[in-house]
Amino acid sequence: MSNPITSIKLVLLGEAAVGKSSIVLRFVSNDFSENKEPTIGAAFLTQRVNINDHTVKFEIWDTAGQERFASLAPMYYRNAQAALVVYDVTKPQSFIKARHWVKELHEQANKNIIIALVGNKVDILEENEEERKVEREEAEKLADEEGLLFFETSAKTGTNISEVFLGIGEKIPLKGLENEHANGGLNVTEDQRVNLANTANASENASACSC
Amino acid sequence: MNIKDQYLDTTSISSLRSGVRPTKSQTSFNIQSRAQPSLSINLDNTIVQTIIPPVNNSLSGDIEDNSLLHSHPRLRSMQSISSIASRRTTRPNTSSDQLSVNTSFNPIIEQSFTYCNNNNNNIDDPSTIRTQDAAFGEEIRKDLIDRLAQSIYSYPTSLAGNTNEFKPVVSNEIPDVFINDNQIGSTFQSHAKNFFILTSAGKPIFSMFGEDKEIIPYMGIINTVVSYFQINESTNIKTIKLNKTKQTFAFTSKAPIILMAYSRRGETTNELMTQLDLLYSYLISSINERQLKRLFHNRSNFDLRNFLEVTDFDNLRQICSLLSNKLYPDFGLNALQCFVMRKNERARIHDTIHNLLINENKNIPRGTLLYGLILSYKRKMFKLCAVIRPKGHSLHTIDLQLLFSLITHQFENRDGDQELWLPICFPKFNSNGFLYSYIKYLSRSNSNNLGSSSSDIEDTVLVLISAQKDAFYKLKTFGDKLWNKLQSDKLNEYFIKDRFKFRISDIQAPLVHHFMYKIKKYVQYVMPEIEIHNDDTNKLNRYENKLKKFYGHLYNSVVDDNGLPINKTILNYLHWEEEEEEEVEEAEGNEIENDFQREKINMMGLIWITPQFELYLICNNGVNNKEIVLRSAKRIISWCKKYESRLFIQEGATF
Amino acid sequence: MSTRKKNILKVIILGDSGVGKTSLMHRYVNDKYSQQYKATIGADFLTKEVNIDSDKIATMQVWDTAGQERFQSLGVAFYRGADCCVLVYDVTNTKSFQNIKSWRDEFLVHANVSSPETFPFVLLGNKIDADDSKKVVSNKAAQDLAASLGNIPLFFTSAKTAINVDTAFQEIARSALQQNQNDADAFEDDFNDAINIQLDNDTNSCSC
Repeated sequence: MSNPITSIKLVLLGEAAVGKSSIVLRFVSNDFSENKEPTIGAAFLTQRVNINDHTVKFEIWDTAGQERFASLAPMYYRNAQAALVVYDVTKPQSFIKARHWVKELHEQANKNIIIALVGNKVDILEENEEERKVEREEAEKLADEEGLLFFETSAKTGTNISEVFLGIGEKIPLKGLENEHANGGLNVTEDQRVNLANTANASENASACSC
Repeated sequence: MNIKDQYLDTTSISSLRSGVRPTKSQTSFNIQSRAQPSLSINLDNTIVQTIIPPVNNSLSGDIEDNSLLHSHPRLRSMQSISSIASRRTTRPNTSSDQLSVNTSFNPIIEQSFTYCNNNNNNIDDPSTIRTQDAAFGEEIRKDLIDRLAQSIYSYPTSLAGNTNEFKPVVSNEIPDVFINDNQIGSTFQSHAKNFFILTSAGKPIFSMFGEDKEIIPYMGIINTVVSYFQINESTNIKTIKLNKTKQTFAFTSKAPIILMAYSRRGETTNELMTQLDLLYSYLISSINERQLKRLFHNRSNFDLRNFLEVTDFDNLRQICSLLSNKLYPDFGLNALQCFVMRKNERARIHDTIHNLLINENKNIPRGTLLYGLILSYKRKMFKLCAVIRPKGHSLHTIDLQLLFSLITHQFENRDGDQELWLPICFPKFNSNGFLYSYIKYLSRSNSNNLGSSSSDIEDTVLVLISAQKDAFYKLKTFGDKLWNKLQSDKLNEYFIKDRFKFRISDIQAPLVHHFMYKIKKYVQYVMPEIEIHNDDTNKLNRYENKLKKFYGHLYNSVVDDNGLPINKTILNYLHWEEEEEEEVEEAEGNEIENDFQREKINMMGLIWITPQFELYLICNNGVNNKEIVLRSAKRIISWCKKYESRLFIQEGATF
Repeated sequence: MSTRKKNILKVIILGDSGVGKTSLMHRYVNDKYSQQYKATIGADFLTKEVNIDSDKIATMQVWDTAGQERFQSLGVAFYRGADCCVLVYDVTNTKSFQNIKSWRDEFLVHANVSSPETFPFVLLGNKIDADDSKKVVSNKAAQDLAASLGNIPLFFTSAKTAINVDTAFQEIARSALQQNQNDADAFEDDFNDAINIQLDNDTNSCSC
């Protein structure tokens, strides 16, 4: 616990059934469940990892992919420092949706947000390469143009999952180290309400009754 | 045929089938027969019951406004958890002049129905060629009903008189006096119970059983039946009963949604209607009414199935199963069960919550938290450990049951320490908007030290509800602090293990097999643990189903056409006994059964309703001494009163 | 994903009594032809899964409505939420052809569709297996009608010999799917309608 700790707020976005929850489950519990039920609303999870001498605490929002929850997404990405935009390499439609999310994040989210484009379910390709419907080159091109990290993963086999989070962690830590206690640089939020650290500290001394 | 007859009719159905005759032996206090607001007509074998529009509505008036719930404002699902006292006095005044409306609905039957009893789905092949005649409208109506029935009629005939399900009676079992309607066969017609949900355009949304290719045409027929009565009779059809085949169809039309329940189990119209209300409420909890209306506005062809989640269908199936196969008193009694703990323990927990709310007043401003619950979850049942609510505000039990079904599902899919933030509409609170639920799993324990049977796992969960969609972190902070505080004060130990669960034998109430006791002002109930068959799901289901039917009969014996008790105070005994002449059972591969002398069925139940409480009680087989049963009933009541503060949450943490 | 439900396409078949609507439907769904004449009461319902353009699958819910006028009161219910309307006439029956326009109007009046101009209709001239001597509606007249109704697709079919039935229903499914998928504005922000909660402010948690 002597390591300095950086918190990274991270949000997962993407079409329904591309495997967002499975990626999180693999990352947090190193587990996989074949028939995972869809997420309703959103799930919040945390995971600590050590990157070099540094502890990074991921605060992860796993959001529902279904269209009817799409309008709730800004609430989750507004204060995020990182986003995983996930698609399914066997579903072209999910890649179109991923493009939309990247665009929306660039327009609406924190300017410094680190975005990783993640093509999931590559395990299916290992069995049959013909199942691939989204070319790697096409995705790399999008990643280049938009300045995204890019990974092809399999939550089922674990391929590249930790690399995704590691890659994001490496892009952020220095800032976090400098401002660890000041809590400034990391949380460039206009909306202090949702700044957990601030409220938590304040409450220690604050009297409930103001009179 | 009047309503009273209908009740008797339904019970006699079961008696015919099972060879057991229920006898209403005594009804003390005065039972008044009430004028019914609905009209039932016996079309030969077919009872068509429709809701008559209120008199002040013109007959051709707004059809959609004749919503069933409006006509029946007192569906017995209308209590909320803190309602001070359940007053049954405001029953709708069903004046007799309503009955004179819609006299046109007076069919003249010129030919009787014949239902072909074969296994084909004959909807596209009417057996007769219709000719024009004077009673044409009547003919259409019959035809519609005919088709509705025909297409769901065919089920294996072996089911109809199947009474060979009697098991050797053991001391902690009660006999099954009802038809065993476990499904045989695979088509949707073979199920004794089914639910259908469709759009007002006739597009399928959900059915409990059935493949698309069977269900989709059937949805069209349901839609036509409902539309026919709306358009040609200016009524919302409520129910169709076919006495010959013991089938009941109950309808609810709430544009843009139509629901239908089908039952061969002798359930009353009101039972089926309240079940439909729960299913509709589930839909609304997922997509609120405003959203639903908007989706269908200018888009009556909207395919709602594609809008719903897999989770929604799973939850609907789960609710259907609870309604059909489980005891599910939460719904039947419209009350919640409470986790038993000592008075001072509960008080300490509530005080802790209350103090934290005051201390955290800055971080969780007034209005952020609307409602909070600590729940214990075991064997798919929820019990209240603690309640946090504003003074004078409460949530409806239906709303909480919907929340529970959502959480049940999340429980089965939870991973690690995730916290959830779910939008949910509480239809009885506000059917047009969403609230947001923060859900955190607090702990898990296994009360059975010996094994790891999953049925003994008890989970504890915290639910905090807000109207603000971005209140997650505020509620999370509060929840974390609350949990830390409860742990540091060791208060969590009070609700992670059920130390005070009781058996029926813990109460000095001789001859009583099982009971349910509800205190109306708390909208909570208690019952002894069901401790048999917990290791065998099928047996447990069968047992619960049995209890459910006994209790259903008990309740139905004292309610009027609206499903409301006929009086404010009622004490009634019900008897189920075998008739003398009994069909010789065909033992089809039943090796064991025949070796046992089956115990004679002689069951008694008691229902006692007062303005303060409701007691439902099932005796052991062979009991017929009312005095002893009444004495036992009184003992149960005084036992429940003695331990009231342990068994019930009386106040909760109010703010 | 397999969990995704297929689109349900509601298709209404309209036309005079006896033009062969039911036979067409049966031919399509069961691939059989029923000689027996049957006056439909209200409506019959059939369903069939269709592959459209080899990459889309939908479930067609066909509503075969009665030709008789006396059922028109139920039109509203039958037509509500239709994705495509099929107009059928009998090439050996002039009256049935002349009535096509009124069937279309009848549909539009009762169906309350959001944009009548673009609602998909398909016109079918049935019984082309009949002797030429019996055919009284010319192909030209049919083409003119189809054009005047907004260039709607036209097929000459025979339920008896199965001519063009599959082709026609393929087109019907395609038109229906097009109508069905106009759900662009279905996903508005539904979470911005905050519920106002009025808690009684007099019971302030701070007692001082």
